[in-house]
This record gives sequence, C-alpha cells and structure tokens, in this order.
Amino acid sequence: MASGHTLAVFTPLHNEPPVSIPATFDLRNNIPILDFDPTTDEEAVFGGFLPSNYAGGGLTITLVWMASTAITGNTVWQVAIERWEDDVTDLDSDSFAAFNSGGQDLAPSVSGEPSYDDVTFTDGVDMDSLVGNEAFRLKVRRDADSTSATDDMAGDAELARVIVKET
Amino acid sequence: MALTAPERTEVWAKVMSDESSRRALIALDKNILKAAVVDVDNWVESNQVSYNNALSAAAQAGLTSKQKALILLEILRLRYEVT
Repeated sequence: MASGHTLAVFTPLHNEPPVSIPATFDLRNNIPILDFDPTTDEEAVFGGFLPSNYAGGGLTITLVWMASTAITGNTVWQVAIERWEDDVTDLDSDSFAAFNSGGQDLAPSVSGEPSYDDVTFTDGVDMDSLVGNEAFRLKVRRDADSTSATDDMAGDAELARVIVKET
Repeated sequence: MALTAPERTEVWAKVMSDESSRRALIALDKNILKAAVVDVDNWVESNQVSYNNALSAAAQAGLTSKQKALILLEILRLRYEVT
C-alpha cells in the first residue's frame, strides 16, 4: 500500500462511546455526527483493523468535521491509538498511547461546510507500535480546554468522518 | 452579588450549548464570548440600584428581588424571543 492510500474509514455510527466524557450523538440534516463540547474535553472511540496491505509507514488520521455555530476561531483535535497485539494486550483496561495533536484547525467559513484536518503519527511507539493485520482502537478527543494548543472556537465541533491513511 | 467564576463559566457553556443545538451562528471566538458573559454580569451588578429605582415606590417595596428579576426576565424573553 502506497503512501496516501486509505486504510480505514469510520463514521459516527462506529463510535464506541467511552464511559467518561463521551461525545454526544446528533444528526445534522439527517447526517450522523458526534458533538464535541467547547468547554470540556470529550472523546469518541472507534475500533478497526489495519489491513494486510499496510506497508509499515506512519498514519495520517483525517477528521472531517463541521462547526455547530462558529464561523471563526480554531478547534483542536487529538488522536490516540491502542494496538491489540496477539496474546499480549489485555483488553480489560485501556492502553492507548499518548495523544497526538493536530494543532489549531480553523472553523469553516460557512456553517455546515466540512473541514478536513489531519493528525499524524510516525511508525512505531507513536502509534502504539501497531502493525498490519492487527486490530486497534482509535480515540478522538477535542482538546476543548486547550492543553495541546489553543481551542477558541465557540460552540460544538461536529465530527462526521474519521479516515485512516498511510502517510 | 455577582456570579462566581464557575457560575459565569456555566452561563458561558450553556449559551454555547443552546446555540449549538439551534445551530445559530456565533461569529466570535469563545474567549470573547466568555468575556461578554463577564461584562454582562458586571453590568447587572452595577445597575441593580438603577433598575430598582426605575420601579414605583410601591413596587420597590412590594416585590421581592426574585419577582423583580422575573419581570426583567419575562420582558427580555418576549422582546428578544429567547428562552
């Protein structure tokens, strides 16, 4: 699989809501979305499988989102990966690697327009040493309290797609 | 007494939550919106006496603070069609 090729796609219907601080399911024009709060960090979790044609490079996670109310300001997305290693990873507890931040992503200029923004991972521990032919989970967080970068976008951020590509 | 900082944050969060639910545009950053909440609460704090003085002496004496606030709330609700 060459660089830039798509490895997995998740929609809000794939979300496995975490017990604490879950993003909220919603509809916009009947499109499933996940609402991420502007004041408190919220998260969504997606379970997937890295296909056998993954060539061992880094991963680029593209988040497709809209702003509920804002046409200005920046939101900050973070993503973390949890590898499910054969006969090793104990799924009775979470073992996500550290979050990577995409930095500030500007709100689309018109409400309802999608924005495509990336969070990147280098191959290795950055992506929890995930390899091809392995299951994984991916946690998406809006860094609403501006821990990794300043999130100053008013109102909810609405996540519509999560796309996993080889960098 | 002015709202506490957590109460002001609660108002700020509620305004954003409500406007997000309505998908009503907020054309400014959330830090500016939070400052606006603080400014309005400070304005309310500074103008309580002025509001009370606008009432008749009978109303000033006969209405509780909550009733006076309720009148203002209902007027604002109708004037600006907000809930």
